Amino acid sequence: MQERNSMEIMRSVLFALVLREMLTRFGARRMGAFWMVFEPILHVVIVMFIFTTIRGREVPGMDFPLYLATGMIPFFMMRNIALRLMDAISANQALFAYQQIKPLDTLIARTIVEFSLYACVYVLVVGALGLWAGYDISMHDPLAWFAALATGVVFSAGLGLIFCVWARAFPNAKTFIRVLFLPVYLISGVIFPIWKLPEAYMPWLLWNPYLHVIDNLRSSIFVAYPETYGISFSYPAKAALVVLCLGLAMYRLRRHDLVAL
Amino acid sequence: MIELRNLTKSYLTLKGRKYVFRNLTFTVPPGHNIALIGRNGAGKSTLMRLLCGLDAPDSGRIVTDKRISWPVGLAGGFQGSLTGRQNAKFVCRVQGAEGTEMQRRIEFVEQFAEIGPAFDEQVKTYSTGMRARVAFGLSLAFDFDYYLIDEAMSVGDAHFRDKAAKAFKDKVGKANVILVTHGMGQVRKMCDMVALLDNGQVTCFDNVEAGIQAYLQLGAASSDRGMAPAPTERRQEQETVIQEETQ
Repeated sequence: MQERNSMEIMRSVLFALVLREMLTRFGARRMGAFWMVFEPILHVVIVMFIFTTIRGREVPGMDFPLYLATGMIPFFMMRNIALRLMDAISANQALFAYQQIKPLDTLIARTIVEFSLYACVYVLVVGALGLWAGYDISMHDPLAWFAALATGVVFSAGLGLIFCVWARAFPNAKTFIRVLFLPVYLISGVIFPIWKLPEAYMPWLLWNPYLHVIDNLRSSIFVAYPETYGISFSYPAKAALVVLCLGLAMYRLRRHDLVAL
Repeated sequence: MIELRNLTKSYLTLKGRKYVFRNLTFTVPPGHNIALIGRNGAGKSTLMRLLCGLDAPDSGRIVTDKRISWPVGLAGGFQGSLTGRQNAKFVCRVQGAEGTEMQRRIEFVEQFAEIGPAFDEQVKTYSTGMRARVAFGLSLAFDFDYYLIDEAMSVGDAHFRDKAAKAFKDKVGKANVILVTHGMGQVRKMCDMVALLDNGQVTCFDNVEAGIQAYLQLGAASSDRGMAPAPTERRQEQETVIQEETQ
């Protein structure tokens, strides 16, 4: 076989890993492909049903189902990227016998898989809301939306990288981190608007980059989205950069321990 | 050429740090099929893992311009919920074999494994022997300068073992093997050189029988004294060494 350079090797490794990961998820249970997409949809629909029909919640100037979908699906994606990256190396341990595969490849592959999966879910749910429920699903600032989403993905991937290296040294931390995401879910303004939160807590809540990301996503979709003082594009971007650099530094330091069984 | 330079490897155990190798310097002589033998815990598998990059040394380096295989017959990398074919394709993609190249190699694996329609079944339904067959075929489907075999030949039935041994015979001149085993029959059959691993030092024997004798002496010596033998110097002249051991 011909010699390949590092980029070519990484490309084919990533391609192989993404395919493998997807196939594994498809094949894990009967109708795997269907459940893979349907499960997150079901989750979103149930929460939507609880909040709109049972509790009769409304957000002025916005369609509540659309409001929920535009926050929940990106949040689930970011949460899943962080949590699945945490397990990426231990789940693929045996693969490091193939010298072309480096631990970082498994992390990147999982990020790609999660991102693609939730992109499909997002298109399906929002598409259905637009087509059948007749909501206006147009985006008022698509570029800002992509910027916000990219920030969120990079932040989550960096976080996942840190978790991964950390959980390698302290496996018990995994349970703790999983539980931690529930309160984060609640204080990120995913299911209720942040302007309903008490003013006094805002300086604290603003430390959470997910709050910024979710709010930025929505403010670039809805025209009449109320601006909240303190929400910015630059804070989550800085946080993402710091987290990613920290994660890569930790990875660099511990790369030999990550490979060994 | 594979060169180990000042290799140190230790593991943290409950009783503190245990060194497997301390400043091991050793050059694997080129063009030989080498049997790596030694008693349990001598560090054979550790050395193997270091050679194929599954583990990193504490300090020192392994320098080589050869293509070294992953452990032959490694079935641990198989994903149970995927079929044998899908797993084989995965390895092909990683190794950079795509298109017709991949097809050719998959066909080779399928023929070598001889598991018939099971090749398209999920790997988790396979028996250990079937897994080993696919894994073995997969290793042979790619060209390496050195194949690392860690006890893998002991799985599978007699027919398969013969087939595997023959497959390596066919590669003579193009590739070499490094074999880790406790089966002296295999050493005699496949290797023309013995590397004896003891107390973190490697001793090479050009004469296979001499190496096997030295290995058997090690066992006898330690059981006589009821303890591990004293550290041995790196030895080139195997004849004198055996005399030292017996005295």
